[in-house]
Amino acid sequence: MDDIRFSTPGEQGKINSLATDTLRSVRINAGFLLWMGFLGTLLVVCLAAYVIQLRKGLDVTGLRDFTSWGMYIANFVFFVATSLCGMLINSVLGLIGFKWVKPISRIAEIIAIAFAAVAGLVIISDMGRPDRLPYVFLLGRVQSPILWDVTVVTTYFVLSLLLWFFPLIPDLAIAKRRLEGRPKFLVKAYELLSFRWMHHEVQYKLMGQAVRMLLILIIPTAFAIHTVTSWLFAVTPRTGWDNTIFGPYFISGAFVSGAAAVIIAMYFFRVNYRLEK
Amino acid sequence: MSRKKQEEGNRSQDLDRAIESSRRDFIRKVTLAGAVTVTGGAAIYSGHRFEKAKHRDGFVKVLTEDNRLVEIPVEQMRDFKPDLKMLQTRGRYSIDGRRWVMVIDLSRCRNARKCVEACQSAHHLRPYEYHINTLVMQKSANTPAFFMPKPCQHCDNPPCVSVCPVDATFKRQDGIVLIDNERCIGCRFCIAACPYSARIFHWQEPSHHEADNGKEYDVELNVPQKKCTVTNGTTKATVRLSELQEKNAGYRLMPELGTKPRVYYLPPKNKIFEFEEGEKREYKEEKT
Ligand code: SF4
Ligand code: SF4
Repeated sequence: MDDIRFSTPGEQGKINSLATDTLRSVRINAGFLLWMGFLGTLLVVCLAAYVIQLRKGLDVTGLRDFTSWGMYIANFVFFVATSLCGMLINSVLGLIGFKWVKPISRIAEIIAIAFAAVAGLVIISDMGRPDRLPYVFLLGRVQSPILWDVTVVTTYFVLSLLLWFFPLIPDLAIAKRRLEGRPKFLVKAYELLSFRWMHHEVQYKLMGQAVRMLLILIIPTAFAIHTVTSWLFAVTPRTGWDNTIFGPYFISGAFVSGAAAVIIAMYFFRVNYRLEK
Repeated sequence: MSRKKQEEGNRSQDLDRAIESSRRDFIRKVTLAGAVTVTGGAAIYSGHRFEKAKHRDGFVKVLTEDNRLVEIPVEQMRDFKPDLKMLQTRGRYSIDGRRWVMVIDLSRCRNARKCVEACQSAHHLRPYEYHINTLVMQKSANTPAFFMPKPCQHCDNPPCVSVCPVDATFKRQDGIVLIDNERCIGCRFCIAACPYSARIFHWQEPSHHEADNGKEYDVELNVPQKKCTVTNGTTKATVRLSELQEKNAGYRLMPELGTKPRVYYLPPKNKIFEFEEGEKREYKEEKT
């Protein structure tokens, strides 16, 4: 697969065949429906469990003050760690100049966004009083590492979102012209989100600059997200947690789990879109 | 505090005075109990300031703002119900000119765990929920074991306050560390940060929540507490006694952590009270 993000109008022909391949919807077959049904059911069950937790208190989770207190937190760590892949694939490998990361950069970015968002949700489910979440913003005190964590996770989420969306604009513009026979709202949405992209030289140049800036910005943010989170745990005098090695340990762990998530996602894309050829 | 002379004047003035008079009332009571070595901290639990004032032939004694004791007719009294906002504000003001510490004389501790029980009943806790707990200590195999009551140390450099994201737990000028249960978001970071394990989380509805329903939350008394918030149990039973510490080689719990705890222990020298195995067993059973 070639890079279709920074294409010029001259390459349209080549893009055409690619576009028909990539713009096809996900194949909906029995297996797919079954899987989605299964996931949907799981989601409903989890939501029901959360409602029970809200009503009865965190008691129902079996967590306690001193031993099993960090289950949700460990979950949070997993999601935060895996979300590093966006930065790893796009920034580190991309800026060094590896061409092969281009096609998977979008997958990596989506994973990063989704995992960062879920990490936020996990924290909310860990909170005893989610109804008082606004207090964090209204009454927040910067000295608390929790506030740093909130800030840095939000920043990383926004940067990832932008980094995912900017290069998507030209593609949306390409896709916009191939939407015959699709529902009206879809056409409208593509219209709106492609911001009247003209495939103009200046536009490409501007976007290239913006993306480059984001790529550089996201590196310190991604490092911060892991060091803040890890050393946040390290300030607690709990056995196994109060350890200065946590910062580097989390970053290296995140590289591994992030890369793993991308590899798994790539496999599904290959199978579903028949990209093996 | 529950009753107050009826006065003309606006409401806020009214509230201020209520705060002030309750303060004085409290200080007075503490002075009465002063110089008492508190064993385990619960001895002078000052919840008794909420006692109804004593009636005498239709008259009632109240302490005025300028610290005079006057009697006023019962007809002029009205029930005063402080609202949450006032209680929250009051809880954050320290008592002027005081710096509280707590001294626990281990040599006089009878290993009775009454402090734990009193604390639990005052703060509406379950038997397995502790604000003050007893650690079982033993210097060597040949010396008897003894209980070491461990309340919140009211650290001068409190890690729990440093980590709280919403200022729900705070350090007052007079040395007290309190929690505002109505502000706590339940992140439990303070529990993890406290090296003394002095805090607990309300995983369930607190034990008296039905009876306490509708009661305004008092930050100083820390009752009624709420589900999914954090609590450390301050009983205001802090007594000024500093020379004692020098004379008796008093020590503090883990001061090397830099938390600057405000609870001083006097060592269990010449201990007269035996530590009975039975008590130890009972204690263990209770824990499980
Ligand atoms: S003992 Fe724990 S809860 Fe109490 S002030 Fe110190 S750190 Fe905070
Ligand atoms: S659990 Fe409550 S008191 Fe403790 S740090 Fe979080 S918000 Fe503050």
